Amino acid sequence: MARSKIIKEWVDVQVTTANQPFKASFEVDKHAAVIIGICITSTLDEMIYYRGSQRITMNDMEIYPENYETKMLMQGLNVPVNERIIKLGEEIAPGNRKVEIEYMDTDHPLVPFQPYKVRLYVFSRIDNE
Amino acid sequence: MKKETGIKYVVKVLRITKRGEKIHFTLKHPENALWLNGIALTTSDIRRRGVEGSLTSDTTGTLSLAIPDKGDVFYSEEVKSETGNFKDFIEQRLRQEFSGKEFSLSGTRREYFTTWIPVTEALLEGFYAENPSAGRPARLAGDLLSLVEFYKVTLYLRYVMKETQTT
Repeated sequence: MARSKIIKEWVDVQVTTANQPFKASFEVDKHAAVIIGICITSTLDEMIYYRGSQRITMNDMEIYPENYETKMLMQGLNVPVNERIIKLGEEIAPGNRKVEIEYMDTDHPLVPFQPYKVRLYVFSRIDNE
Repeated sequence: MKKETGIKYVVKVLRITKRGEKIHFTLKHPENALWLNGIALTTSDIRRRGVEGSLTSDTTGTLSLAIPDKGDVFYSEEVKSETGNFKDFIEQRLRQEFSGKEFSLSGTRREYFTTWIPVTEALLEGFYAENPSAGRPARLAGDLLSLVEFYKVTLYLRYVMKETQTT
C-alpha cells in the first residue's frame, strides 16, 4: 500500500495554571519536504477560544506572532474534515525541523480557568518519489 | 542561512478601558512587505443583555485604517461583540443522519478580509472609536469600564513579503 503523502504530527501543551505562558516543541518527520499547514484543537474548546493566544515558529521563523489569538486558528465542526488545515499561505521548508508553540492563557470573564490541553497539528508533505 | 517567509502576520492589540474611548494609532509595515493582503478583527467584548434581558447593540466600536498624510481610508469596519457562544447555530442542531460523509457545509472559521493594498509608505494609520452604548447596562454609569467590561480589540494584518535570504 502506498504511503500517504501528507504527514500529520502533533504536539500537546498542558495548560495547568491561568495567565501563564507554556511552551512545547517537536521536530517534524525527517521525510517531510515542506510544511503545508496547521490546526489547533483542545480538550476544552471554550478555553482556547476565549483565553488562548500563541506564537508559532517553524525552523526558527515566526509564522504567527505573539498575541495571535487561538480563535483565529480554530474551526467549527461543519468544516469538512479534509479541509481542517489552516494553510500557511505558502509551503515552508522544514529546515532544522523544529516547530515551537508558545501558548499564552489569559483571563476572560466568560470562562473561568480550569486545566486543559492544547494540541497543535502540523501537516507536511513528503517528496514525490 | 535564514529565509524570510513570504507571508507575515502583524498583530495589534488595542486595550479599551474607557467608555466612548477613541484611539489613534500608527503601525509600521514590516520591512520588505509588498502588499497588505488580509485584514481581520476580533474583540473580547461580550454582548450583554440590557434591562429585562433585551438585546442591546452588538457593535462594540468602529475601526478604520488609512494611509497617513493622504488620509485615504482603505478599510472601515464595525467591530461586532462576541455573542458569548462560539459554537455555530447549525452545529448544535445537526442530527445524526446529517453528519454522514455526504453532508458538508462551507464551514466556519475566521477568515481574513482579502485586499491587495500595495505597501508604498512606511506606516499605516488606524483609528478606533468605542461605541459607548454597546451592550452595556445603563446602570453602569461613569466613564471607566469595570474590570469585567474592560476589553481588547485585536487587529490582524497579513502581508505578502518579498522573499529574502540572509546568512
